[in-house]
Amino acid sequence: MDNKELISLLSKKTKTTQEKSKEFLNSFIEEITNYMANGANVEFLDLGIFENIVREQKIITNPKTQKKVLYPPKNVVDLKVAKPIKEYLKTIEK
Amino acid sequence: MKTTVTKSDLIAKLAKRLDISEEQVVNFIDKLNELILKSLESDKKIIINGLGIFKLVWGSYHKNAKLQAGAPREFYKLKFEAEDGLKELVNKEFAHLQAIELSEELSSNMPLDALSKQAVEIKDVLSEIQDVKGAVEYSNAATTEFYEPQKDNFSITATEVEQKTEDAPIPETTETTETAQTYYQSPTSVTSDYGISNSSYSADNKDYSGLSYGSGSGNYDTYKPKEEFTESNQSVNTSIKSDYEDNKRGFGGYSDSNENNDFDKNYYSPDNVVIRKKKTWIWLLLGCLVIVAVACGYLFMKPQVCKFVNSFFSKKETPTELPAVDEVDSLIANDTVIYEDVAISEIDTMFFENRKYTEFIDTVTISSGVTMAQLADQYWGSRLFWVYIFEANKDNIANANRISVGTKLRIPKLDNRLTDKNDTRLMDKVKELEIALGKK
Repeated sequence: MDNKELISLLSKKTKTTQEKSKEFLNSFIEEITNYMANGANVEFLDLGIFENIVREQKIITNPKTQKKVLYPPKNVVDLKVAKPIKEYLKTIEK
Repeated sequence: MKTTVTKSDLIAKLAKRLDISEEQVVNFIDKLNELILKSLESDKKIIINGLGIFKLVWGSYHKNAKLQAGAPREFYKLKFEAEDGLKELVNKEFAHLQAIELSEELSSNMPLDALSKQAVEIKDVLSEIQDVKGAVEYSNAATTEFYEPQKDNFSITATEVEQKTEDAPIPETTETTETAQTYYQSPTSVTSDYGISNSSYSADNKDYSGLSYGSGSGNYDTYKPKEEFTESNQSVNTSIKSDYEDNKRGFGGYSDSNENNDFDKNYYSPDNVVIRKKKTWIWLLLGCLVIVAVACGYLFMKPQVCKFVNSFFSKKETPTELPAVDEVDSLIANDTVIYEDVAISEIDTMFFENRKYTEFIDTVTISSGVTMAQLADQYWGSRLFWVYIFEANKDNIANANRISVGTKLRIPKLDNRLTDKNDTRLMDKVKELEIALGKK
């Protein structure tokens, strides 16, 4: 499913115009990304929490050359899934 | 600790931004939630532009996991893959850093003494800088207020700071205090140096002041910016030496409180440094080689080893000293009794050592169950004399312990003195010969 399909379905469900639903969705995503860029964790709907994780710096050895490399730290996004959603997913059959 | 923006915060902000009531926003969000869950159930995948891909992956518990009765072992898991744009946006803080190949001195395990010496030196330098900083702040409080940090001074190392402080006296050097401040960094200077030009960040600075990595991010001087990286690698390596232990600290150095610029002094103690050398595989290899060598030696040198061992356990006979030839001649001349004994023993040894098998009495074809010892017993009255038969038929027999059925053995004609059972000296010699031939 794309953003287009999502917008059309959302407008149908909420009984509003597609423009409004598009504006809402875009602003919703923008707000979340803004918060994430500033290093905060954000609750995403009922699905879970977008976590801002810091991968620490580390020294890695190249297995071929046996040389050591200092690898810089990194900020990573991960979704910590909520418990009710996990339980719900267990009920779905393959 | 990082703050978590809850659903209600997001709703309030969206309502403000879109100029609609919070109820409408809640309605929107609920419907969006439903739609996403439904599409996930049907398509197992949903792409939201700007965020990333949500998808269901079929997974299972570990085979040894203890589950309740009736609980499914296999089920769907929700996974999220962020878009490249979001990844870059989140990693903006460390985007300028690049992996560095460490020099040989650092890549090999540094000796503990050298590290402890460095730690003591750094400790002294830090204490000196702190003293200087305090004194100058008190005297030149007005000048430091209008200070703006420069990019070039930012990557100054601890050793350079030490040199500068030594060269110039305390009250005259306003620069040294500034460099020191840049090295330890105030929270405001960090944001300007790393070039995070986010308007929302500066506006919401109050909310996220606790999240910035300001106080400790001076440790990342080791990572040279991408533009300067090609110019000089040596300077990087020198700066690594001073900051190597800081980096070892990991993200513990990034304390959330911006006010405390003091380093933890206990960190520099040599107890925190652990050096490991794993070279057990060499010893294992050596052990295996020794075992293999011993096994091979035993297999190939078995008869010699048996002989060597038997020589230890057998009683050592003190050889009787034979009289010299001149003495014997004199004895013969005197017609003494000893003459006969000496002459007989000499002749016996001559007979045994010069044994030759030229004439043969008989030829026997070996049938099953017949041994050389039996034949020897049959012809000469002792089982030990099989040795003669073996020596006479060396061409036909490869192994004394295994003779194939049908081989023809020639039985030699022997002198009576070679088959005398009562002669102990002869029997001992025959036994020695038996051990040498390796009969089991």
